[in-house]
Amino acid sequence: MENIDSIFDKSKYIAVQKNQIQLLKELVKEKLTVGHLGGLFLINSELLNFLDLLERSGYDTAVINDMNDNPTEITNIKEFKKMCMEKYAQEQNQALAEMRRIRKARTVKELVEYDFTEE
Amino acid sequence: MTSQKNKGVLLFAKNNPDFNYIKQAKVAATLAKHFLNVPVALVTPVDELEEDVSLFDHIIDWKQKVEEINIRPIYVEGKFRKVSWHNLDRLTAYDVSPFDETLLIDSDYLIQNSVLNSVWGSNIPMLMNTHTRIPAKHQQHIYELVIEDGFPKVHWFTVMYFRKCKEVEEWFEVCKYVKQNYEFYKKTFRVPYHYYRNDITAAIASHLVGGFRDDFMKPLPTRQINSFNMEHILDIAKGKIILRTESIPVLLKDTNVHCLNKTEIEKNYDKFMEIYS
Repeated sequence: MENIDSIFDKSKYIAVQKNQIQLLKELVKEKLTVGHLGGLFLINSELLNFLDLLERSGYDTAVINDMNDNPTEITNIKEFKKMCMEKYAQEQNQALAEMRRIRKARTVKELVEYDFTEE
Repeated sequence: MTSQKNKGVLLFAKNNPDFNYIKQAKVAATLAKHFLNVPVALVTPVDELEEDVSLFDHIIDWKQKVEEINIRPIYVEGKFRKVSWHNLDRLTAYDVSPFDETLLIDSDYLIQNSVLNSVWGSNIPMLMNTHTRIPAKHQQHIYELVIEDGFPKVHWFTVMYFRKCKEVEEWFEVCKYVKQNYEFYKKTFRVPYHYYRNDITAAIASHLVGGFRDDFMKPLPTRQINSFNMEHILDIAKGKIILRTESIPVLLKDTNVHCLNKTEIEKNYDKFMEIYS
């Protein structure tokens, strides 16, 4: 039965790991949400590409739909794009570091950073 | 954009024999100040205050003409008990808030990141979550799944953003009207709870105000993560809470959480204050 026990232990480890990864994915989306000129925007590749296209096409001002599909006038495309790019890079770098930590963790204790032996 | 003095966090707190809501509010306010860097106002009966509340920027005296107490069954330290909740004046938040833009939060809502700062200056005058998850699973608690079957989406009054304007004022007025006629609306909407819930009142009010559709209320940028009463705090560090849930342990890093197990906040009061004060 030792083999069965180890399978169940592994199953619990996977459950914790999957949940931590899911929480991280949701958190990254949350952190990539910014408020700008009254709109709420999720910084993703679509927004970044669109802002880049607008800037390269010579637009200083444009109306963009926010997360709630509300048209929002962005009066400073260049600055907004710069701010979004910086935020995107910062949050994605943090997410990568956290994902590596989760993948590297070999036990439930390491996954949640808690020493259960103390309980 | 509004100035710093015109935006802030609003909390309601009134102690009952089971819970020290002032203590919980102090933890919630300390975290809110740390992560959002905005002033915090407390609505409380001033003549009942026994604790130091100097950390709050505004104290608003909560004067009830008629004492209304909401009795709810709550899971406290392993057992279900009938507990009195003084949450019936929450619908006065619009009237009492000293801010032009308010983040109304529960005293058991623990903020661990600055994402809520993105709501200030929003074009939409109020935001509230209608979806939830529990810490250990990417799904709602089973109770809420039952409620949502043919029911307007439950509005989580735990956190709400609102701006002072006619639209929001009218929404709060409709909430008060629904509360006054709660028995009628409870039957009409087949509300499964025998006790009163502000979350349900908000859901019904949005349905009525929003043209009898369920897309009136727009969500906050943060998730509504509900840690229910049977879950415990294992450890706390800066920006981290480790929970023991019914199935697996969960590390909530940089993540806001609605900690319904209020005794856990009180038990860890000193630790929270040590880390964040």
